[in-house]
Amino acid sequence: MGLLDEYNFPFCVTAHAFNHDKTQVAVCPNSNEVHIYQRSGTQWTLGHVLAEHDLRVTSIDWAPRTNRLVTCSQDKNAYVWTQDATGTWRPTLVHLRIQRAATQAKWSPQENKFAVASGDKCVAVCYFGEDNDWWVSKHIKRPIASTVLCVAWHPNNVLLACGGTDMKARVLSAFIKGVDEKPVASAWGERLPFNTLCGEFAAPSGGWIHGVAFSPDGESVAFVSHDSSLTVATPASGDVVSVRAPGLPFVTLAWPAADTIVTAGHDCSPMVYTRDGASWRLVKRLGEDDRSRRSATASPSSGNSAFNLFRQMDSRNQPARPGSAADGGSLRSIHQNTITEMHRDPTSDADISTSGLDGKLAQWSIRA
Amino acid sequence: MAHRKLAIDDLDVENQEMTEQMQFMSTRSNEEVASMVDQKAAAVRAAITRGNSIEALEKALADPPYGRGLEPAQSSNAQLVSEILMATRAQDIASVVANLADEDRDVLLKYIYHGLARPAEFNCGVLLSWHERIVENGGLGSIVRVMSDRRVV
Repeated sequence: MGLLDEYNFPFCVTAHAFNHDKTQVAVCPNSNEVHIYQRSGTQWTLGHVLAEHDLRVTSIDWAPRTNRLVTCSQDKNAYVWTQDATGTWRPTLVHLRIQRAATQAKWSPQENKFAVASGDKCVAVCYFGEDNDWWVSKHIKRPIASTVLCVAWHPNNVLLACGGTDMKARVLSAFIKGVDEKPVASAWGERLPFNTLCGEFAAPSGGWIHGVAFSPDGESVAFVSHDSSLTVATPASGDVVSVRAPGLPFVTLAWPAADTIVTAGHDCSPMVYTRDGASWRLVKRLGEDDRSRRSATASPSSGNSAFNLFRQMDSRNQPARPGSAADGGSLRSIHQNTITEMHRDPTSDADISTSGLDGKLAQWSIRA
Repeated sequence: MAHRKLAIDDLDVENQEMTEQMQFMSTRSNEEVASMVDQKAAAVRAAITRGNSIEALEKALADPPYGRGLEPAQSSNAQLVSEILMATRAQDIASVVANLADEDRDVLLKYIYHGLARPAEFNCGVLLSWHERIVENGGLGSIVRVMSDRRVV
C-alpha cells in the first residue's frame, strides 16, 4: 500500500476526475473553469479549458464508458460536456431548477442519469429528455432539511445515498420511470417509487455528513461526518457501526473493495480501514512512513508539526527558526493540506486518487 | 449589531426544533431526569469513598442530562463528575482513562470543557491534567466530537 504517483499543480485543486484509462484528468483550479490535462510521461499538460460556469465549480464527474463530463457549480447550474469529432468539449445545459448552489454531481453506474446535490435542500436527479433534447431533473426533497453535501449511487442505478448539513445520511430511491427498470428487491426495500426513504442514519456525535459511499455489493452504506467518525450501516442486519477516529474530521471516503474503506480529510493522509469482525479497524495511514523526512520529536498520534514546534519552544527554550522546525515546516504526509476529494480509480479496484488544497493530485495503491 | 443583545439561540426556530427533537428522543420528563441525577449521586459518592474511580465515573457519565431547561441537573451532574476527578490520584488518571469506554470518554471530555468554562466553580488544574490524558488516548478527534455534538451537557 502506498503512493503510486503524485503531481503538483500550481493551484488548489478543489475537484478532480479521471477519464476511463487515466490518460486525462479534469481539475478545477478553485475557479469557475475546468481544465483538462493530458498525460505525457510523468507530466500533465493542459489540453482544454472548459469555461462556461459563472462561479466556482464545486464538482466534476467523468463517466468512463460514455466519456461525458458533468460539472456543477455555485452558480446553480450544471453542464454535461461531450467531446465532438474535433476533440472540443461542448456543454449542454441541464435544467436543474435549483435556487441555491450545487455542491456535488455524480454519474449513476449506468451513466444514463446523474445526481446533483444542492444547497436548496434537495437532490436533483437528472436524465436526458429526448423530446426537448436537454437534461431534465426531478427533485428529491422530502425529508431533507438542509444543504446536501454529498451523494453516492448504489450499484443498481436506482438507490441514492446523500448526506448533508442536517446531520443525517439518507438512502433514497431515485427511480425514474422510462429510464430505469424495476430493481431487484434488496435489503433496502422492494417497491421503490421515486423519493422513497429507505434508511436514515446519523453519526454518533452529530456533525455534518461530508462524504457517503455504498459498498461494492450495495448491502451497506458508509459515511464520514464532521465529528471525526466513520459510520457503516447495513440494513439487512440492522447494524450501524461507528468508528471514532483519533484525528481531525474526514471529508471524503471511498469503498473500493468489500473489506476496505479509505477515508481522507483534514489530517491530510488517506486512512485505510479494514473490516474487523463487526466493526472496522484503522490499518494504515497512507504515505506517512515511506518518507525519509521524519522528526525526532514527532508526536505519535498526530503528524502535527505546529504542535511540535511550540512544544520545542516550550521545553527546550528554542525560539522558532525556519530551519529548525520539525520536518522543515512541512507535514509528514504526502499532501500538505486538506484532502478535498478522493475517487475510486476507474481502472482498478485496488487504487484511489486524491486531490487537495495544496494542489497535489496523488494516486495510491491500497493493495495489501 | 443589534443581534448581539438578543439571545439568538432562543429565537432560532431551527435550533429549538433540533433540541426539542433530542428531547423527544428521551422518554423522560425534566423532573425525572433531575431526580435520576440525584439518585446517581449516592452510588457515585459510595464508589469514590471506596477508591474505585472507574466505577464512579461510569455511573456518573451514564445517561447525561441533555436538553433545555435542565441547567440545575446538568450542573449537579458536572459537580459530581468533578468530585470524582479530584478524588483520583494523579498517577491513576492514565489507567482510569484507558479503561473507559469510547463513549464515556467523549462524555467525560464534555464535562471537562463544561468545567473549564466555569473556572470559579471548578478546579481547572485538575481538569487540564485529565484533558491531557484523554486527548493522548482519543486524539484530536475526541475534542472535535465535543465541539460538533449538539447535545450539550
